[in-house]
Amino acid sequence: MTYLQISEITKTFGKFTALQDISLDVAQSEFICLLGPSGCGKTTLLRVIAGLETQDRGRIYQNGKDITRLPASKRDFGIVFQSYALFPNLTAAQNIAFGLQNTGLQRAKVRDRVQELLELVGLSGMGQKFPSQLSGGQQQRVSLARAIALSPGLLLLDEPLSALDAQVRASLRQEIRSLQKRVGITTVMVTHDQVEALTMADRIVVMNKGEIEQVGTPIQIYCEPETPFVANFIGSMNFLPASVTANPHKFSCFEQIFELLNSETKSGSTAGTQVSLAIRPEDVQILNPALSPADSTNILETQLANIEYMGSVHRLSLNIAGEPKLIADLSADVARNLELSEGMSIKAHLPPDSIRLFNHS
Amino acid sequence: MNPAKSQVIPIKQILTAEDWIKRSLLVCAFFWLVTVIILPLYQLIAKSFLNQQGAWNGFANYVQYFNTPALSASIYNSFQIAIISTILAVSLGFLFAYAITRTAIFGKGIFSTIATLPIYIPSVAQAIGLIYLFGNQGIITKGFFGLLPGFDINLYGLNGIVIGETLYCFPLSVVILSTALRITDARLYEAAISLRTPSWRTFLTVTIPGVKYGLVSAIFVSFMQAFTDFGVPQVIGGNFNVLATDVYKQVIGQQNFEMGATISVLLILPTLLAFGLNLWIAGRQSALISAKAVPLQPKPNLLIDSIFYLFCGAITFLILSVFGTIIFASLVKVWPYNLSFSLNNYNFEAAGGGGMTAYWNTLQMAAYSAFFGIFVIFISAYLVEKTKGLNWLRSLISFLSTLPNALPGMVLGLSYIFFFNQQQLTLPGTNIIFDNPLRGIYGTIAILVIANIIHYYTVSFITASTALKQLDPEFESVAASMKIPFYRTFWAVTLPLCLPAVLEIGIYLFVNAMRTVSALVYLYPPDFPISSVAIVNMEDAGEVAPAAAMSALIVLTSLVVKSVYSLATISLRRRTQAWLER
Repeated sequence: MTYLQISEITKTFGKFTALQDISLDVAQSEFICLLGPSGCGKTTLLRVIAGLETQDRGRIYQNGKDITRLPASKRDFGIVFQSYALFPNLTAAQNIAFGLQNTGLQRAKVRDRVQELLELVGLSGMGQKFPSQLSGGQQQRVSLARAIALSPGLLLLDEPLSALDAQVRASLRQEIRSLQKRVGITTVMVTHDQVEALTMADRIVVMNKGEIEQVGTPIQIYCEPETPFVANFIGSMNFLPASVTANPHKFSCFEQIFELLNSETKSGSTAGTQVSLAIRPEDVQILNPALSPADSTNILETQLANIEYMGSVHRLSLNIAGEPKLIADLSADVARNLELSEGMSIKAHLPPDSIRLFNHS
Repeated sequence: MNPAKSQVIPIKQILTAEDWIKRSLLVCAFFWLVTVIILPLYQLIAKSFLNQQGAWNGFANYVQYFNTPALSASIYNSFQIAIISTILAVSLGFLFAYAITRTAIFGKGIFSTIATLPIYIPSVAQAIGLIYLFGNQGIITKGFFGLLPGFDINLYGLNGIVIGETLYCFPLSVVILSTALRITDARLYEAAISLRTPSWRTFLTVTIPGVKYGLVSAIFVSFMQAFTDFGVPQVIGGNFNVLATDVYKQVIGQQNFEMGATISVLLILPTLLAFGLNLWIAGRQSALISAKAVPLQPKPNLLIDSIFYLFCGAITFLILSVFGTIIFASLVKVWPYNLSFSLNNYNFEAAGGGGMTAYWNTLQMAAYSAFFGIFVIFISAYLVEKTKGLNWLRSLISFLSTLPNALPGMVLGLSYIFFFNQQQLTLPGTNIIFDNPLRGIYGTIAILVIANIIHYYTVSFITASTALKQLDPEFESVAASMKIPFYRTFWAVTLPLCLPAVLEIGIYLFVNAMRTVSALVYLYPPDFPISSVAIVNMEDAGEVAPAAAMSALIVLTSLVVKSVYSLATISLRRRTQAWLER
């Protein structure tokens, strides 16, 4: 069931177009991540949803109600900012109670609700502390508790983890996600961190230059990127120049024939049309030089230019005809068995089911 | 883009009751500023084009002014005074500010406290101190009551005014420049050292560019102060006329209001120009120092530190001796003949000017100015900073709020007579005449309070809006998401967080209301004498010692009030600022 419906939103700041015809449906209790580089419009979209910015065109419906022209104070949402925006002169408990006190709730009930919320975010007993006496992670928990205090229908998170240390970030990531599942609140989160998006979201909305590039589950976004931008922005991706042959499943790449599964060129592409073959570094297979391959399809002759040690993986930079073209990630044990040395010739195998095809537009 | 689509009118949010309240308040703030700044100024300028019968006169007043050498010489005099005093005050101020921010000398706290002491001294009192030091019967002139050979600097005239104005502008210059010098990044200097840059080049390429805008601002502020000051030239100007004293003579001496208005216009033209230039230059300023700047720790250097120490010592000695002389002179029987201790001068019965009544009146007026000033200024700054929409109105209000900085007190006071004392007003450009609804406040304490608030509006407004800008702009967003009315957020969050700035504004308004003469000299009601004007009148009547006593009273009151205020607010600060402690 659609809870939040965003329809053809356009927003400009002077000559700069921040959002261009954005449409998106968010289901009840869904966790949506708006992901993209800085300046892609994701924060503007969140602020438009909150009513903190007003779009030039387009409509927004929440829970079936048209909220297009409602100011923030008349909408139904809670919000968490990167800066926490906790009122520094109020204690954690007072911050959480601030909105509740305004609802005409009895004093004792407000106190109970604040206790309940503090427990929910794992801060029971910390209510009397001022924000400056709390760590960044704790402040963000208070901010989260404050945002859901009034039980809003929609939770908006604006880069909530970006100001935190890596370890705190990882643990709070999980906590926010499990809290969201428990409460069942529809959530829209803005982030520029792909790991956050992949680990937390039900669906990811990848944005670039004010437009939506792709909407999909984390697995879809990672494994079936629809555009080179998405492929490159989430994880790493090798792009190899190739051309269409007479057979729609076969492509010519560095004078080798490559076979692809489940990928076809745009209808009407004739032989010789330029395309890109894309493959993730972890999908590239390095063949043991001691064994000769069964056939020569999908194999590239390369030279090992550099090995980057990254702990659990080794990242190989491979040259094709003297040019750096391919990156391959090998797990540490595989790399050890291959007895690699810089400058050596390597046969790289690109499995047909791992290659994606991108047409040049 | 589809042309039909791009012509669609952008969506606007529905305005809530709160929006209407805020917008109405903004409109009120706008009309308040128009009423107390623009309309009086308009009356003043209009008056300069009328003859004494009130008929249109074109530029005749200006022609007459420039054809009367006795009058027009003042323009040259005023510029001369302003330029010399500005050069002195800014260069001395720079050295002093450099000493207390960039050297490792001892006693920086004491030095900077004493350097800002003149802020609490009325400029007329400053001049009286100079009379006792360098005047006909002065300590220096008579060689310490005949103990040493005397030395006459010809106080009355150019010399005296320049010294007085320099003393008057020096503390402002120190405050502005030390703020500018304090904001720097130590890493710039470390980079310069690592590149083996000679220290004189570092000074020219790192230090000076870093304080460029501070310097410009100090120059403009000093120039405007010295160009428009009334107190010092009135007391020790002798026959050396300047524009500000000419206005006074025309209006009070000769009852020639039209010529007074004409000279006032000549007085504000350069200050408006300076104001515009300063705005323009400040608008080009971009933040040079990021939030991650590392503060500079000055390194000791025996030779340089000794020189600066002596320099600061000499300056503070001079300031203290002027101040000390005022106190001393007020406490002796008959200067310079009988130096025995006496409090007779504090018995103002014998002298004119209103005596203790004037003093109590001034206290009352200063307290009202501080209270109502905080109220009006902070709320309008809040509305300008924290309201959404109506951008043009908010920019207009903040422009009008900075305008008073360009208006000398003399001009403000005179324009208030012309506006508030007018029986009937004419709608500009029409023949519609109506009774002046605001005439009631003329001749009451209210007009004095309004004049003070407007006279010192700009600095207070900037203090308030700077404090408000430092608050996270998302406070309002969060409050809106929780459906909290804006006044509750204002009361529970915004105001407590800005309390230090609010207190600072209160002190600033109080101290300046205590010491100012220029705007009030035209406006005080006959039955409501005030002490700073009493000083001028007593000095004029030859009652210099009671004038010194009154000056001492004002300065001590300001100092005591400031100390009591800071002590009394310690607990308040502690309660509302508890969040600052870890």
